[in-house]
Amino acid sequence: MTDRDIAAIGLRLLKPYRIPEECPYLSEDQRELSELDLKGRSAWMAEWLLLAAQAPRTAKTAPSWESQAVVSDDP
Amino acid sequence: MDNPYIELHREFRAAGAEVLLSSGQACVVFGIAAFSKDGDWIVRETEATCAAILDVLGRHGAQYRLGAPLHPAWLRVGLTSHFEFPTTSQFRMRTDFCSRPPRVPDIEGIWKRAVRIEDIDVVDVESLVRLKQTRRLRDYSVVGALAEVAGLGENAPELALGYLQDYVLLARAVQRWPHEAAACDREAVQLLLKHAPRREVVAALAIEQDASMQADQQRIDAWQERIGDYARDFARLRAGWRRTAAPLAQQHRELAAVAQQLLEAKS
Repeated sequence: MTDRDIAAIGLRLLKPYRIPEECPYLSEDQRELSELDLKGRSAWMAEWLLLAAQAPRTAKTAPSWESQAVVSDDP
Repeated sequence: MDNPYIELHREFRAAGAEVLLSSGQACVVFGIAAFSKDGDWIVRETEATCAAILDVLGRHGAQYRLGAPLHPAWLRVGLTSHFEFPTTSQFRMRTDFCSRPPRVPDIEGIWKRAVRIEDIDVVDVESLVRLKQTRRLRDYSVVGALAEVAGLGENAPELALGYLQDYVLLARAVQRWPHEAAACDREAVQLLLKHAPRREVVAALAIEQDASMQADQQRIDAWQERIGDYARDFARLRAGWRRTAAPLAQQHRELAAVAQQLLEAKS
């Protein structure tokens, strides 16, 4: 697989596509998201962030700096 | 309304930074993650890119979180920089930056394979799969999902055979690409070619996943051992910044002085 091939796959995934029904890894949310274009996915994420910000915090969460490593586990 | 992390990406670009959206937000734009609360970028290891990012973040009133100063000296040893700032929409933006993501040694390759569309630049799918092989179990669903949509879905045997995480789909990939499977060094793939019992294949997948998680944990543990009292020193600095509402440029200068110990720890 060349650099161009792998970039082309990424480009196709930025366009609407259909996740197979039998996919064991993903839920209805991702199926809906994958069928949106980039603009739709961007709006979807914005809506989720707003909802998350408005949701009451029920669980104790650590301050961000305490839960972070100097070397990231989520690059 | 747009994803604020995508808006921020555009600001970085407009300021002249070379950046690629990565990790969770990359999964969102590829359509396989419904949500990610923070933004991760792979950045060019240049002073110009770091300065441009710091300038944008400074305008947002960002604060450093525990991590290294955003500068090539720290990026090139594999360290990462973390910031946060509040938005008018009530949520806190969290932004993380690295230039050498773990498990992806070909840095120039990342930039060659980058996915660029309109004003978005995203890390390629194969690099994303590799950097998602973390210590966290939940990331392996992402690895499997990317292998399915990009490998099976886009006819890329290397991705499907190399990264699918479950028996049924991996068996399908082996059946579809037997020649490529013969050349694959994953034990689960070789067992499928030998028609081994399902439980053996499933066990091989689980052991492989656990080995990846352990390797990532050991990488992080090794760094934690090296950094000594840095977290305590950082907490002291941060308390001062909060008291005085220090601008990001000042935070950066002070952090760079304290973070020399991280460079010494590496050598």
